[in-house]
Amino acid sequence: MNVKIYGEGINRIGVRQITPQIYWICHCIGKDAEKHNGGFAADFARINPNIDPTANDINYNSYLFMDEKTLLIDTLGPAQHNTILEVLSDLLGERQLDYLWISHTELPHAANATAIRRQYPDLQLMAVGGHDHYEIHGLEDALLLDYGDELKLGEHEIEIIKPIFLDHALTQWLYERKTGFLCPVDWALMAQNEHQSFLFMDEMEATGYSPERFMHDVSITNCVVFAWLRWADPDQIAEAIDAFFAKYDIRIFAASHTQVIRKDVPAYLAALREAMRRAVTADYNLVY
Amino acid sequence: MIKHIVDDLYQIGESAIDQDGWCEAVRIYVALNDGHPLLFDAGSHIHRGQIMADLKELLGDAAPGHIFLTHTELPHTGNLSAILEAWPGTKFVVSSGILPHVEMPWWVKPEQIEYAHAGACHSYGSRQVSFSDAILKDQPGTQWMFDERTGSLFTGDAFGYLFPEACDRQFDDEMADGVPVDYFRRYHESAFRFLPMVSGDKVKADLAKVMAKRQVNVIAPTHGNAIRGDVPKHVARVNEALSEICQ
Repeated sequence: MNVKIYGEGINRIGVRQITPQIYWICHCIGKDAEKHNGGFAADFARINPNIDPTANDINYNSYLFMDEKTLLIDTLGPAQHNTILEVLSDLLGERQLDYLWISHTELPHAANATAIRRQYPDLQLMAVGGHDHYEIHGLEDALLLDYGDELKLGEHEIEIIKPIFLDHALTQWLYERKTGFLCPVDWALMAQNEHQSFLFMDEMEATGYSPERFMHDVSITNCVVFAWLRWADPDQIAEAIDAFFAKYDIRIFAASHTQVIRKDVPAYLAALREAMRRAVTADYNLVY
Repeated sequence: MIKHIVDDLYQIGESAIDQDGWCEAVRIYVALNDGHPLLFDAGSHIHRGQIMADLKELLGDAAPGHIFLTHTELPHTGNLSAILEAWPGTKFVVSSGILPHVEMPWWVKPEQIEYAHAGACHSYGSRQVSFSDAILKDQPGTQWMFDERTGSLFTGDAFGYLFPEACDRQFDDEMADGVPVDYFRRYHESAFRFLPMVSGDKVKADLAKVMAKRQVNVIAPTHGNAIRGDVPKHVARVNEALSEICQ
């Protein structure tokens, strides 16, 4: 595995190249994840025996496009504020960061926008349009994008797309046509153990992972991420996914909290569809 | 803006106004709690000056004991740094569902954070606060809190509403006929973009379970003023708004 690692523990970031011009910038804790993340995997495993009880780590992903123009997707979280600046300095060298796209304004995705802007003062901040009161989200001077808007980076052409699964109102997804790169943000969040840090999904298979395992895990984790699914209709959800998959040729599935899927993508997308159907009808065990 | 709600519970915080004249409140609720003040959410960074002035006037010599965060999004945590600068010993109570190293400001020390599990009830100074899963939310790791002394339910984003500027300082019982359905609808369809994809009846049934489990005298949303005059009427109005937005 070719990964360059910066920092350690809660500051740690690993960088891998997905294509010659697209980098995966990933925070995960590694061996101390259970301590920092509260050991949630054991809780999941008690009621779901198929969950790996050591899978206490969650990815927080950013992506960097290095074309004629440079684009960063999301900023990682507060504890990675120094490390992300070091990573960007290393990757960009003398180049400027032209665009910073905020998928949504939760802190794990947007917390370091101010620090990154300080390092790259000429960058254009971009966020979803069609809302009000941006100032309370710290986005008062962002370029506001509509679904369907396009951005040419050079060879890469970005399209802003409407999410089919979202929690925060100021959420948008992103698709790049040349590579079939999809960033569906929080969709398909999964957990991993310390031996699976920074692995592409195809490399995960050497650790016993599979599309079936992915389907099972996501059907549980996405009940937490999108708690509103319990009010939805499973057939409508499946139809929405089918329509989405028919519209976009997805060749790189690059979500915010998932290992990057770059091979055997159709098998994982089929697993994801079934996972969401199952999530709708799962037992949410809510405390009212 | 300091507003007395009931007993020792107060509301502070300001509002943001859009070009069409609709306001979004960003409130902090303060329970004086016999010298161990409790804050529910921390307010917006854009209102820092007024919030800190109001807090100092309201609290006098008492330092906040705990800040309860409904969730960690910026409108709820943006003013944390100013509060901690003024009162560095303040502790935070967050949902057990959050991961602090990615959801709390990096300068918050681990020993300042206390975790609350849904279903738990703990003592803070002289009062009990119980915790439940947030039924209507826009972020995982969101919790609702219930103050047993005043019967106040702190609902984060849920039960918020947008309003014309004239209503900025009015509780429901200070408005001619309370908060209209339209105000709730405007906020909920904007804040919870998933609602058109779900069954309104299921959402309303879940809210009914929350209300049936406890005697709610006050609903305290972050993005609206406290609802203290007629809680059942306003729950019905939120339900009506949900019926308009959902399937």
